[in-house]
Amino acid sequence: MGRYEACTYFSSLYDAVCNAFPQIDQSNARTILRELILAPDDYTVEFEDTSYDKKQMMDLIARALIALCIDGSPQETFNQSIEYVANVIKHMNDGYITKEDAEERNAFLKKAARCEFDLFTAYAFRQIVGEQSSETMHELKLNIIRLREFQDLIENYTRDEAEAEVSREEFEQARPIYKMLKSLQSLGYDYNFSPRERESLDIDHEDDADLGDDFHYSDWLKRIMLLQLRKEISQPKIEVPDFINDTQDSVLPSKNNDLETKIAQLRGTYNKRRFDSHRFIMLEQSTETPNKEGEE
Amino acid sequence: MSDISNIIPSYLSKASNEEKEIFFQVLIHLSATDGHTDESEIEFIKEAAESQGLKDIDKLFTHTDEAEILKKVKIIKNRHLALELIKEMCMLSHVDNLLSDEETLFIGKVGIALGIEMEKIEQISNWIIDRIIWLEQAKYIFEEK
Repeated sequence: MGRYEACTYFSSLYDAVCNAFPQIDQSNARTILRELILAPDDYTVEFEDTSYDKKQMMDLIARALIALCIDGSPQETFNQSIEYVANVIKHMNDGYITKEDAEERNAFLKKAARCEFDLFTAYAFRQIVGEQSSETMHELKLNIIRLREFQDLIENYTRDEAEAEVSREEFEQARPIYKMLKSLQSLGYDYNFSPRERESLDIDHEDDADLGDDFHYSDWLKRIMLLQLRKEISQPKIEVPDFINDTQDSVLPSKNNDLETKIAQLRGTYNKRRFDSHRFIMLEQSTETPNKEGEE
Repeated sequence: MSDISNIIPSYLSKASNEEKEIFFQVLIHLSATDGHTDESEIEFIKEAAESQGLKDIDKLFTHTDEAEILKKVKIIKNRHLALELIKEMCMLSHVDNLLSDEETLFIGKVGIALGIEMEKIEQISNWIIDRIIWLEQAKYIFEEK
């Protein structure tokens, strides 16, 4: 299955339509989006006695999608993301993975995947509309690539586990990644991983086919829309009252009821408070020589 | 200042006033490295400084420049007192949920200024954390938690 074809974050597009046109509710947003993507190019979408041509609407929805992902300026968003990734790498490799560490990791992966989908769809809309500004397109593409790289870094250098010990070897592998992210942060928004770094870290997305000149964005949008429609038809949304879920949770046996688990959790929590000379040396080097890697 | 005085003697009471002042200034600076200062920590440090016979305690809170503190801490030449300072730093910093980057950096830098080996700082930190874990385990083992 291709990237995004599970349609996990498709509802984000409905949110973007609602944000771009506040007078539209979710149900109408579905209809409008479907028409926008699947209708012929000369088709106009009509609602509230107003006609919009496809390009106009795509442009407005692309803006709304970008607004869903950019918190403050792009520079601020980049700094927040890189700080978040560095913290996830650090917390997931500092001796013990607590439940909170795993939640932090998974929350970031989920947020990054949703944002990546939003930005990619905005990029697709802009490609179809024929966005004139190459700078805007370059920035969008760069942000998509960065989100893919960040997700790869976390998947490659952290374990998808909770309440587990981390080996010294894993810590040693993660240490230079944390240091590199901190250096990158100090170099600012325009700087990116070098090709050599991307290759050695196995996070290279510069040549992804769906970001290349030959990619058919209109076909991709149609395909993704049809997959979503299939999903909505085969899995009608059933509202489950909250109390049913609560009851199910309460009858499950507790996973944390044995002494060994509790003591392991206790150790994990306190292990994060130990002084680590390797960490000190790494931090000292990264604060003293922020440009070292960039100068190579 | 801590409940281990029966095992390890405190050298702070025998230190000069200048040494005592920088001893507490280091702790005050450490308590503020993570961006916020806990009132109970400050009260604790103030009381401990007073119990050591220091006057004008508020003055200690005005000198917070890290470079100046790292320079001044070198007046502590007694290794026992230096180890005691590292121990108190490790105890103070364990209060938060994790040892922050800023705290790690400051403890390491003070250690270097005092001529204490990194391995020794780790030993002290591990000893403190192991002891806390041991005490906390009791609550589970004796089913108090």
